[in-house]
Amino acid sequence: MNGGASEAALRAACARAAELSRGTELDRRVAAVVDRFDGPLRVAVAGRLKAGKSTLLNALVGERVAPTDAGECTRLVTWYEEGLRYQVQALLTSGDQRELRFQRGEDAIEIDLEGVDADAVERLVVQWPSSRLATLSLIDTPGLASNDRAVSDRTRGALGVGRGGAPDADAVVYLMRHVHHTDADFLEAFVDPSVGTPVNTVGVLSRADEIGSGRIDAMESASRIAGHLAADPRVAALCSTVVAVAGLVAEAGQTLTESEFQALRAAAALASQERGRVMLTADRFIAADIDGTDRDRRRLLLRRLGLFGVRFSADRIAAGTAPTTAELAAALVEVSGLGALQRVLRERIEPRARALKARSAMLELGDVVSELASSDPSGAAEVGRLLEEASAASHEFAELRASHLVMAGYTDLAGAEAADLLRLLSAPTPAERLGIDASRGLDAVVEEALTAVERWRQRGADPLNDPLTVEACEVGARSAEALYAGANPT
Amino acid sequence: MDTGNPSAPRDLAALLDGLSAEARGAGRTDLLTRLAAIRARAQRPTTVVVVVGEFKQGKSALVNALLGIDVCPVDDAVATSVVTVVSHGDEPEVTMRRRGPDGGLVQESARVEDLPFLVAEPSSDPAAPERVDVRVPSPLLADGLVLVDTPGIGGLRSAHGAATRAFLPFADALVYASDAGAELNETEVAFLVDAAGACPNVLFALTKVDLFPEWRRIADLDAEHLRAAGCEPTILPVSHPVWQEAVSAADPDAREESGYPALASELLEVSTRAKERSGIRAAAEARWLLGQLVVADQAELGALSDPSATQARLDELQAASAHLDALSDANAQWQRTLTDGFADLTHQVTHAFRSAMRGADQAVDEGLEKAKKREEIEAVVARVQDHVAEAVRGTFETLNVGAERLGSTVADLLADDALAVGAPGFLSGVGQSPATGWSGIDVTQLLERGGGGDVLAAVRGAQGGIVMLAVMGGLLPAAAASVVAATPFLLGAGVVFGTKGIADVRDRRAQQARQKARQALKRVLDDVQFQVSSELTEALRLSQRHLRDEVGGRLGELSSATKAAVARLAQTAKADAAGNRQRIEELRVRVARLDALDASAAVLAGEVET
Repeated sequence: MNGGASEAALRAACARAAELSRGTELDRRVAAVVDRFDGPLRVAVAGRLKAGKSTLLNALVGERVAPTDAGECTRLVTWYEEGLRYQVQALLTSGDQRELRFQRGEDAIEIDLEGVDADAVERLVVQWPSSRLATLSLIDTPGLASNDRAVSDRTRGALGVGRGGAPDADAVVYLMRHVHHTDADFLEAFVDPSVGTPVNTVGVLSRADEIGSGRIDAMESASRIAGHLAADPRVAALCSTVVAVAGLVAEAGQTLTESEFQALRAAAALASQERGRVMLTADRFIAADIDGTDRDRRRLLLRRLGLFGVRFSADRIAAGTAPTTAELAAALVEVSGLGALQRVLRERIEPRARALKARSAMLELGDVVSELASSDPSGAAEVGRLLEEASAASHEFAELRASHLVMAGYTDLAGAEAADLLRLLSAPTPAERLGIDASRGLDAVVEEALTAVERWRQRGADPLNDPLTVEACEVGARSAEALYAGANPT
Repeated sequence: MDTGNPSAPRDLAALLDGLSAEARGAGRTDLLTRLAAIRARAQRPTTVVVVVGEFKQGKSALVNALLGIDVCPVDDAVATSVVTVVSHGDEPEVTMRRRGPDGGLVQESARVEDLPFLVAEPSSDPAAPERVDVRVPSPLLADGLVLVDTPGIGGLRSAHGAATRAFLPFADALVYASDAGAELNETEVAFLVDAAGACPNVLFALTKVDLFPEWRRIADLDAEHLRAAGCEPTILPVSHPVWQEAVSAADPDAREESGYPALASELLEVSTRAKERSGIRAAAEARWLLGQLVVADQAELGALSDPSATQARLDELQAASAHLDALSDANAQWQRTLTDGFADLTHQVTHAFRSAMRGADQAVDEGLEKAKKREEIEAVVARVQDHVAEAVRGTFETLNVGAERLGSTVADLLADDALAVGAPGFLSGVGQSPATGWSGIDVTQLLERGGGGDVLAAVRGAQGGIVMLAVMGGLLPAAAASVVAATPFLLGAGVVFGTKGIADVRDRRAQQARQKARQALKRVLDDVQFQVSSELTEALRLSQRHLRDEVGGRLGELSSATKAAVARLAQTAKADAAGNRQRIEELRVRVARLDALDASAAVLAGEVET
């Protein structure tokens, strides 16, 4: 649409702010704003302690990078960025940086803090040459509900809660446990609302294999629960969708080795009934007598895939549907729900990456402006005007904000009406935005778009509306106008 | 006390058999009903085991495996939402208690097949039961064990948590279920420490050990956390899939491997200990009945041995009999004391409950006035729940203590009365019987220890507690749900999309949310007030009637015993010398038999050393 004009205004604002802040404390912040806008989208993986964040992060990177043991490192915020070489840095609260030694261990990388006090570390930055990090940087956060206050505070800080400027993350993958809807902790199961909005937050029902007690149909069961959760209005106000993911299975699928596959194949060779008996419990699987694998190997398999992953793999191999490492790996990724999560990120978050990043940049720059105002009021006002211009020029922002208002329940819209407006504001194609069959062609789009313009104008004109409802409806009308213009070039 | 005597149950059965034979022989068939009741209580004392755990920790699977019958629904998505009380019955039977449209209690029986729909969510349905009673023919329950399956406590601050904690003092044992996927968190440890203080037997079932290869490490960590907190429950690993396999394959090894037999035997141990205690009570009651039987024999024996005193004894007995008749009158002083006492108690309990509830009311007003953030509103809900739980628990406690005190007041009164009548005197010159029969001390003791413990059973122990748990278990979560449902608009402040216009709307929504939360909480408090009040009225009525029936029944028995003695004394005058000698011999033999029974009862009651 008019992203170009908006982006130009934003860059102009950055350039002006850079000139004005040259030689001052703010210089570095302005430079960071530009870097951030040009860099990959930053996605935070957040959730309660032991929700399986690091495991999911490994699965998303496709390598075992995050420390999964309960060492000091999982108590720190860690950023994973694409880099030319493997490198780990500690960014200290003092502003200093220090390069740290690390080792790629059996399960994860092992970082040596070299005597640096964990409390003095603002974050660790792991640079990793990985194609998956090219479009998304990942931020691993310690548990929010950690018993250790310092750890919770660090996480909140990382997510930008309770300080000026933009949050560090542009989007959030939020891991939730299976909590009961009358649980007093229900709402606590969610990330602090100042960061997440349904527009940029994807919910993940974590440890999905365990929810179904590792039965072979565990994932279907977990997906059903994820569906119930997503339909809960309280959850819907925080994230647009909930995907059930078995992190361990996903991670194993992404990093499965040939020798692991061979061990699984040995287990799959057992007669079906015997296999069921042996794989009924983790203890039995370890203690069993299986040609071609020893106990330590099987213990390791369980640690890597979980009982569900082992059962599933053996079933697939035995059924002949996963005859190679690659095919089994793909099957594991798919059954784990990671495939679905990646699709959601690709279809719902990444298309909005520029708008989300631009929004973060504007917020950050806005904060710089307010600091600048004390020393250079007229310069600050000038940058502020450019920012306003950037914001006003982007209908995409308006759509994001309107989606946020509707989803988070700030408007009077509900039910089918809210769903229609959300679709109009955010679906990927014109036909989908208008809720019509794609095969109906341009004429239908034109016709429906006009109907939609009329509908949302009228809805927005209702004198009983509150201002935010008016805003959302007007944005919807404008989106429909744009669809009309796009389909009707005359 | 000499517990753990393996032959005690057999000895007790022999004692009760002997006693009923003697009662029949003496024509005192009125004692047979009481004997049957004593026997039933001794064989099947109510032992309440409550199963507690957070949401989705495998509680229902655990209950099913323990019972050997699928009673509770096990489903990944659905959670138990109702207090389910499972006790023994020869035929499966389901009764549910729910509130009618007028708020009154409705009891209906239901089909066993419908059980899953009754105890699972959603519980927001106003017609949903607040408690379901299930009777099943499970061997584990045969000795009077009652399993109470509770909805997940969902964190210490949750509604069910508050209700469950308040229930603990009423339970004989607690089974805490937590899965082996993660170590206990701080709130769970705190709950268990609390529980160990409130409930004599705490068992920790580590569930789903099949799924987690690291379960042993988790068990060790849990044990360590608990030890550090000063509590050492037995940790028992269990696996439901293995148990299911054991059942379908009838495999005894798998049965052991599932861990359930070990858990069941710990529970049977609890119920065995309860049975020992009830055996002791039964023996004490048996002594009271023996005392009644021997009165007539000894009176007759005394008259035959020393005919010159017969008239004096007859006068004494007749006076006692007349007095007992007077005591049985509705206007007797103990009756008035009881009636007045219960009127006072009712007033006291109602007042205590009202003022405690006023505390909850104030917590709502003060808390919500200041609450801005959702955490604050939630904190208010949590505080109100605690207030309510404490109010209800405290009220039932007041009721128990008050009823118990009334019991002993009445006993004292009767004991004084007995002294005034000179009742101990009428036995004083008679033989060397250890059965002291009608004496002030005995009445007091029996009301306190023997029969007395059971007099209060209607409100004490299990029943009152379960009622309380069910009422709170239904109401408090409703409170949480309605308030939580009212708060989402406080969320999603979302600085990401700017705050233009949002702040105003948010404040307005916050105001609305507060208003809604307040209304929801007040409505719940009204419901609690209404329902608990009606439960209290019922409990007071029951315990008053129970106490009156128990004391009245005993007086009736004494009256019969006295009348029997009078009749026998009257007969002695007509007999001839030869007949007398024979009769004396007969009576001596019988008194010796009763003495022997009493000696064995004294041993069983722990009143003499073996």
